[in-house]
Amino acid sequence: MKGPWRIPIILGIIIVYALCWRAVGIAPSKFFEPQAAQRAREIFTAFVTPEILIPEVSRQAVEVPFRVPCPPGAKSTPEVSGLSPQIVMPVCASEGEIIKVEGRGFHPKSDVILRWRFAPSSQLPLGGELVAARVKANEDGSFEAQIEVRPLLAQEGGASLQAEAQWRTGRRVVSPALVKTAELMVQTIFLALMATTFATVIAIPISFLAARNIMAKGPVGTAIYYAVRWVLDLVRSIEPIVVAAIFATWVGFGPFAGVLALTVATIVSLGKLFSEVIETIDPGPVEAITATGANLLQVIRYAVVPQIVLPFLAFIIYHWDINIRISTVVGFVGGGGIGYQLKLWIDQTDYHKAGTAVWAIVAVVSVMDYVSARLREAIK
Amino acid sequence: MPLIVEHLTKIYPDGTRALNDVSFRVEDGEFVAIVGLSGAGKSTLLRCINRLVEPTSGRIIWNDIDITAASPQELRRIRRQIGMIFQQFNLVKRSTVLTNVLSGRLGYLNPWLTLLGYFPPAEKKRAMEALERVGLADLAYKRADELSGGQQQRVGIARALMQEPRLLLADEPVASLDPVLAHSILRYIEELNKEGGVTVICSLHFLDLVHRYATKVIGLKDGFKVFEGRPEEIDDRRFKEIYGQEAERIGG
Repeated sequence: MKGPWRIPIILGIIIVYALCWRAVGIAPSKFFEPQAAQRAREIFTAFVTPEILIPEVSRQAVEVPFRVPCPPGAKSTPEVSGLSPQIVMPVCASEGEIIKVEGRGFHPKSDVILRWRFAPSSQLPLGGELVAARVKANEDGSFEAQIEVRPLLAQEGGASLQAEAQWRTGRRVVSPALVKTAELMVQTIFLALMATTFATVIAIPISFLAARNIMAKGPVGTAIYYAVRWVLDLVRSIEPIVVAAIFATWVGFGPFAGVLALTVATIVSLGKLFSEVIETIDPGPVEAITATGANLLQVIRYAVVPQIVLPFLAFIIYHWDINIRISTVVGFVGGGGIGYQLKLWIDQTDYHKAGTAVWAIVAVVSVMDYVSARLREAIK
Repeated sequence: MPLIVEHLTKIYPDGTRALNDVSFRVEDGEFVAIVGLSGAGKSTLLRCINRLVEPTSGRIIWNDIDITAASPQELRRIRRQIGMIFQQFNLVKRSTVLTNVLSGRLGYLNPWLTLLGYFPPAEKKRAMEALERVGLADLAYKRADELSGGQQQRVGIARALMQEPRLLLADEPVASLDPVLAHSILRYIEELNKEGGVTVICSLHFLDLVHRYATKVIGLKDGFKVFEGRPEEIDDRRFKEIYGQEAERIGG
């Protein structure tokens, strides 16, 4: 570039970039703020230690009905409830009284939660629970606690006191998050399969309409060809994630919205790829079968279909693979599957569980990638 | 019944004049060789006869029927009696040899059943017989692209046999093959011609093959007919008329 315009153009470019820098708020210092570093460490640590096995927890519980206030004739004296474990406490008392609860025969050194439980009533239609105290059992499995009799216990439905002990057994069990992840991964694979299937069925006729060698033989055919191509290009410019967001508002959050979004995206992509396969078939067999006196449908069946069926199959497998990948993203905006659960776990700052989902996605996507490549190789 | 070609002209949409006012007559049972340089109009002439290429003007009459005026339905009935083999064999490469041969019969069978892939047992037997005739019965279930070029062309002949043709069009049937295979292929065609009484119109490159097999020669140059006669009538002068002054005779 030469001449007087050089300096203004360079200045112009600098100004544009300066504006861009400010507009998108680029701030490298944010990486190094103390809280950011703390969060980053937390997230990355969690991601590299996904929740796979968790310590097994055992429980035991005793529940004693409790009345407030004491009915006529009943006394607020300690009584034994349960065999082993057992608790010793009064079975009735007045509001505001402090009662003594003793436990025996619980698991040594377990964590014990004492909680009031309310039966459903007009005041509490769903019933309820209220933690009264947390204590730790000692080495011989007994504990002692003083708890207050709350006014709420006088409610008409009645109440009871539950003592629940929890302790780690030392064994490890499969995390519920991993089970959930596996279930949703299967759902995601099926979601992608359904979308690919629907899209294939719709894309096949469209692809013939978008193939120049089939359509561009007369003015009407040529017009249809250009119209179909134009629509395909138009729809293709809308990202699946946007389509998913639209469908999620339309049919509700869930895998069905994801299926619809991926179907739309796949129709467009397969329609274009299929039409290119049709456009590049060898015209020789078409000529040869036509020369035998076969009609148009027979020519398509015996000269065109055998040439396109394997390439079509290869593209279908490839798109199933792609759709599994995209469905994890589409899930973020309400498309169901593992993506939606991943977003929930991230929002709940459950990063270990999120890590489980991320690793599962990595594993499934790479396996599918490999399988689809091998399948496509095998059917050449 | 003879094949009569009258004032045949073909001008392609891009303006190429592939055939200019070509007329000739072929009697039943003849073996006609069409000779000429690449681009002389040999392929176009053959494809006009079964209307794979639509002639611009002129008439083609066979068995007293005007092929050029036939409706689509009549045209399919005419085509099924005209076998065709090609330089590139034009087999469906991913289909089996047997399916390729059976597809030669499509014009005779119920279209709906064939769309489902069904062929009557009698037709399968006929296809196996056709493959036996070209010596390929043991390759019936191979994929066509697993065969060598010479074998593929024999499958092409078996496919044409399925049509029980009365006329065979052969477009450079040996040009893609090793010269030593050329005779083996042409002998099958000759056998059809001599024993089956099938009229053959065959474009050929090599004059020694023309002398060996043809009973009649039509020479084309730039879409014009420049020669019609018996093979032995092609002397040096006529050779240069067909192939141009630069050409040198090789072989017979």
